[in-house]
Amino acid sequence: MVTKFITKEVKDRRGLLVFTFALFLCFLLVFMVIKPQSSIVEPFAVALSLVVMPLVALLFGASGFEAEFRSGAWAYLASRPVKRGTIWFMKYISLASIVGVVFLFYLVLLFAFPGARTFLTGTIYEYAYASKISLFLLGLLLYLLAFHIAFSLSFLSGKQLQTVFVALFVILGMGLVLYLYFNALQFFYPYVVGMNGILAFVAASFAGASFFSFTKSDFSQPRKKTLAFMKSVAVLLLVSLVLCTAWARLGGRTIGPGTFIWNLQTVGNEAYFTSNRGIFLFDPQKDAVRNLGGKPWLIMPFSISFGGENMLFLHYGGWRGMTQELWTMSEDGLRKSLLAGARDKKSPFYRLYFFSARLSSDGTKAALLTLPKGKEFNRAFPYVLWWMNMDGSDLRSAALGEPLNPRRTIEMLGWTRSGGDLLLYQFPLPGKNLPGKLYAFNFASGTCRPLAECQEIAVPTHISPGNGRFVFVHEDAGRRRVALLDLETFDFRDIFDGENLKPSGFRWSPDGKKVLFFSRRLPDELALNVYSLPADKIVTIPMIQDPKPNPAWIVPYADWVYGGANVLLAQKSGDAWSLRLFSAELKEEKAFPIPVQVRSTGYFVVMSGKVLAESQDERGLWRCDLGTGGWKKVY
Amino acid sequence: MSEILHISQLHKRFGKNHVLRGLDLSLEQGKVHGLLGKNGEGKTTLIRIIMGVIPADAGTIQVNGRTIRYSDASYKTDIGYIPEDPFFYENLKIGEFLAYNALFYPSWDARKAGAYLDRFSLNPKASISTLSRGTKLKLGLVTALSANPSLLILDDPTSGLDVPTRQDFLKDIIRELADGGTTVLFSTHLVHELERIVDRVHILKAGRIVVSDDYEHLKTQTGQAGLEAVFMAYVA
Repeated sequence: MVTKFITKEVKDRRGLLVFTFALFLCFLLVFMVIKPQSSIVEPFAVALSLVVMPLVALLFGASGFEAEFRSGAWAYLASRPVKRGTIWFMKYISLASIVGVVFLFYLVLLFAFPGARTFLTGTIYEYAYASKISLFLLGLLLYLLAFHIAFSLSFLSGKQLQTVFVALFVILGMGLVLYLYFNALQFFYPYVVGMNGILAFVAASFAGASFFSFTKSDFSQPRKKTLAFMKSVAVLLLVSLVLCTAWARLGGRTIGPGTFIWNLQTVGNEAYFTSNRGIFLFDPQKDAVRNLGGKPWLIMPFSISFGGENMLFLHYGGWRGMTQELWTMSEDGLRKSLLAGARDKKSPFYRLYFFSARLSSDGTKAALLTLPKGKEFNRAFPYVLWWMNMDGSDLRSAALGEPLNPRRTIEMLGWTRSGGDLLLYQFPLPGKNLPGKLYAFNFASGTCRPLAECQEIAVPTHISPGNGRFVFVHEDAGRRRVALLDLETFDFRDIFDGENLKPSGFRWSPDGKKVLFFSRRLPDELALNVYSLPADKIVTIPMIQDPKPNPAWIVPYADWVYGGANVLLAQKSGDAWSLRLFSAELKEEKAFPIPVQVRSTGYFVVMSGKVLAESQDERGLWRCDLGTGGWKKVY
Repeated sequence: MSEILHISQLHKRFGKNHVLRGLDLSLEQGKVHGLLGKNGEGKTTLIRIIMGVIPADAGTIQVNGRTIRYSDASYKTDIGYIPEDPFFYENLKIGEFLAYNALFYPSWDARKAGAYLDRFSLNPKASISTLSRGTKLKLGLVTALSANPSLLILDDPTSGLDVPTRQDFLKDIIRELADGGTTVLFSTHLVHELERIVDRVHILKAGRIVVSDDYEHLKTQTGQAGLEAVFMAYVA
């Protein structure tokens, strides 16, 4: 029976099929003529996948019931001993089969040509963190969406062209509405997960409304028929939106694609990280990951700090995840409390944007940087710095003004050991050739003093364990110099310099007495350096570079391991990454490969004899045992 | 005599136009029923509601004692239907169309369909787009009868046909069916055509069946000699 239906539908659409295959032939000729590496391949592949194919699907869908309503066959079909639902379904299956075959021809066309194939599968769009979609999949989704919407609308009118335009209008209009809706929700990534399902839900809503209306409507009254359809589709779209939002809110953080790993760092001999499922601890003794705090905290990158036996973090809560809260929690996750929230009207933090937070090294004090709501994307004053005890008492604040520049982003790097000052970093303005700057905010006086210019981006990990020193790069007499800033006296001295130098990758040893870093001298010299504070000496080894370096010049990553006795380096050679173990004097002792499933940026954290690194898909963590060189996925 | 179709208090509106206003109708099995009414009285609307093409606003319809709903379809396997303007897929051949139509009827008799094609001199390989209106009507009849229906509903099928074809259709085919036990509901505004074949007359006026009686009894009652006169006596 189905075959006969399909045969009839194919016969009815001979003209459309001929047109479609003629179009494919044109593209075929183009792909045959142009070279695979040609720059023309990309726009043609994009045009075919994202424009032509959805339009073809739109035309086929719009032809769904067009013939029946134009010719009056609907009355013939309705008078047959077959349920209307069956008629709708058979028509859907027949047309879906035809568009499926058309899609197969499109695949054959594209995959037969290396240039088009590579472009289709290799072009990836990232629409949110860790949420990517290939050009091919995006084209397929649009193809299916266009077909379903046009097919669903086709029974409302006997004019195919009218249906095509209405379907186009619906698709574009809905796309805009959904974008605005999820954009309002989505600042926090998990809601974008809802977008993963919304296209399917929309297509299903239209198809469902078409089915319900087709089976219940009076076809002799077009206005009633259209109204019935619109009511059904409105209800189903609303249900879809509620389901997607609920899914994003409740389940999106724990299920579906896009589980992300942020804030991976070591504290003592343990590693902590955050994901869309909460805060996690990796215990190297047990070789296992544990969830802390009992709920899916949503913590942005660089929004968690550790000190004493506590942690301090900014969490995005509330039903839309737009309410910011400052929380403190013990490192074992058992004790937690809310220090500040932006939702409480009686709170001094009401409607403020929480920019960043830092815990003092002894874990007894918290600092919070805020901006007025609406200013978070326009980093202009007034920044306000708040500080308090960890129980929320003794809350004080100061508006940050001169000598800080009101047009530049400020970040807190960390407290000094004594807790009397806070190290601040003002970001550079490359367009205006203004370098970054370091400042010290004194809590007693409430004033800022400038300390030094900082040529490379400063991050909290540049502060030594114990908060005694801060390593940074500045420029003097045209030479880049690595300097150490004493966080008590705020004096600094140079420890390394050179012409055309780009130092980076600073990592302090756990005892705070050594710091390693890379120094890169253009065009292609790279060295690994270890500076020893007690000896006031640098040991340097030149690195062998990948003969085909990545145009982005990705520097290898290194860190201390075994309590500072060794240095571990992740380096790429050819297409493969490997871990290389060096003594503190930079003599290589061992090397073993990093599996392809591990993220190829080489970033990792180390605890004693264990290394943690992200998965290649950025959704999991792998652990390497440095004793055996064995890798295991732990999250 | 049992009823094959029973309609009770049927209502249908199109906007403000209340076409059927509490219509009652019963069809006895095995008889030829004539449904008469002036143009626009709602004959086609009534038939479309029976056939499930459009829904009623209120009322019940029973076919062979079973109440049917708008969403029901199985009861139609027992009903042959020729609308006023029958639809055919113009891009199909006669044989292809019959094969397509056969998909809907479990009781489709292909041999019977072949016999009717021969009787009406229809070539299964002929394209439907080449057929005249009269030939299409014959094809419609083949389509309706090949499923062995117990009820045949004809909605003004002979309008536009030439006189010989109409007479052939009415005298031979309809009578033959009725004699064979098939119930026929013949709706027309060409009253005189039914005279030779009708058993019972149902007159539709102002949205209701105002007369439902045996033809002979009506003639006696009204003192009218012909069906047209009987009809005029009730609708004038």
